[in-house]
Amino acid sequence: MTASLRRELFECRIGWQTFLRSLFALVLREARVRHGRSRLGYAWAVLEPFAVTAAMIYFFVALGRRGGSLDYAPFYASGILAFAYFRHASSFIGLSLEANGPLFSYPRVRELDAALARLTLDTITSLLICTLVFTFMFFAFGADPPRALGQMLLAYFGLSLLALGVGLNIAALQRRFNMAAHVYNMLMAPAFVLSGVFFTLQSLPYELRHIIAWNPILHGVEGFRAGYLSGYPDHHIDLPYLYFMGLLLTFTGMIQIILSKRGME
Amino acid sequence: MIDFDGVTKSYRLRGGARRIVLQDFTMSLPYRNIAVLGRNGAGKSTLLRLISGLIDPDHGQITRSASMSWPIGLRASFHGMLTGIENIRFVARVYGADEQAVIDYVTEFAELGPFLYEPVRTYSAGMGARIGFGLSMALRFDVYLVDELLSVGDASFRAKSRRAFDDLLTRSRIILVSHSMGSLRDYCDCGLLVANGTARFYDDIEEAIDAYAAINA
Repeated sequence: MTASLRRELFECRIGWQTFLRSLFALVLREARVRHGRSRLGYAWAVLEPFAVTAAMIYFFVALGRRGGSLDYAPFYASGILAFAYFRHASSFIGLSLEANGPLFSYPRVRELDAALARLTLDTITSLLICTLVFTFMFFAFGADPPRALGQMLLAYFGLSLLALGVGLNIAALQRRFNMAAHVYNMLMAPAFVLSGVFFTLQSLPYELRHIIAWNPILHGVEGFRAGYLSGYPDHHIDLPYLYFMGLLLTFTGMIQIILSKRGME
Repeated sequence: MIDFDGVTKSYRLRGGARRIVLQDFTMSLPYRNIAVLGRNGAGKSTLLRLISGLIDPDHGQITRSASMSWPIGLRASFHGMLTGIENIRFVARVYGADEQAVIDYVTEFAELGPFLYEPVRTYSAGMGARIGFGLSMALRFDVYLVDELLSVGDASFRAKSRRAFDDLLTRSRIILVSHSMGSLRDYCDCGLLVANGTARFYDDIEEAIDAYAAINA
C-alpha cells in the first residue's frame, strides 16, 4: 500500500501538459455550469458579492463603535473580502467531488484537478471583486490605494492554499459522511467572528490573542489588511504559519482522497 | 498489455460486509479482443474500472503498456446542466483532441440533431449512451473498454455501431463486458471469466463460454 501511495503522491501527473489541459477544460466547465445559466452570466458573479460587500461595509461603518466614519471602510472591506474568499473557495472545493460525480468517469480527470479548477475560478472571481471594491472606495470617498500589493497577494495566496487544504479534506469526508459540508458551513459562522474581520490581533488582550492566533484564517485576513492599510500593526501576523497549515492540510486532504478512492466500488 | 501484480480489490457493501472482487490476482493480459464473462455482481464492471485506472486496487499494482479508454457504458458520464455539445467539447479538451473534428464526428454518429444543443438532463438514457459511444469512437485509444453497450439503440443504430467497431478493430483492441454470447462471439477471440475472487483466462472464446455455462448450470 505504501508504495502505491507514494507513487500516487509524487507522480500525480503523467505530464504538465496533460494536467494544464485538464485544468483548463475544467475551469471552463465550472464557469459554464456556475455562471452560464443566468442572463448576466459572469458579471452577476462579480456584481452580487460586490453589492453584498458594500452593504456589509456600510452596516459595520454605521453601527461600529468608531462613530460611523468612512475612514474605517477600508479596514472592514479588506477583512470581509479576504474572509469571504476563503469561506467561499473552501466550501466550493469541499463540494467538488460530489457535484462532479459524472466527471470521474474519465480516468484522465483526477480529484485534485477538479479541486484546483474550482480554486482557480474562485480566485479569479474574487480578485476581480477586490479590485472593484478597492477602486470604488478610491473614487467614491478618496480611500487610499493599496500600500503594498505584493504583501497583500502573499497573504491572499496563503488563504488560497489553506482553502485548498480545507476543501480537499471536506470533499473526502463528504464521500463518507453526507453531513460534512453542511457541518463545515455551520462552523464558518463562528469562524467569521474569530477571524479578525472586525478586530485586530493587536487590540486583543495577551491571553486571548494567544489562543485566537491558532486560527490560520486570521493570519491571512490580517496579512491582507496589513498590506492594504498604512501603518497597520503587523508584528503578530504569522504568514509562515498560514502557509504551513495550508500545506499540511493539502497533504492530509490528498491522502484522505486517495484512501477514499480505495474504499469505493 | 495489462499486467496485474498481486491485485486485491474489495468494496464495502451498505450493510457493512465486504465484497471481494479480486484476491491476490496476478496475470498478464494479451493485446487481443477479450470477452469478460461472469455472473451479475461477480465484478466485471469493477474489473473494467480497475483496468481503466478509474479506481485503484487495495493492494498490488496494475501496469498498462497501451492507452485505455474510460469504461464506455450506460452509466452517465455527462454533466446534466451542460448541453450535449458542451459535454463533448469538455471530453475532447481533456483528451487533447481536435474539438471541432470530435463534435462533427459525434453529431454525425449519434444522429440527435438539435437535441445536442439541449441540456443533457433532458435526454433519455439511450440518447446519452449514443453520445458516449460516438464520443469514444471519435477519440483514439489502443484499447476500448466497453461495458454492456452494444445493445443500445434501434437496428439501424446497431448496424452503424457494428461498422464503426469493425473499422476501429483494425487498429485497436476491445475488452467487452456483455451477457450476450452473440456479441462476445462477434467481437472477441478469447475470454476472461470472473468468479470467486479471481479471473481465469481462456485462449479460445468458446472455451470461455463453455466454462461460463458450467458455472451457471
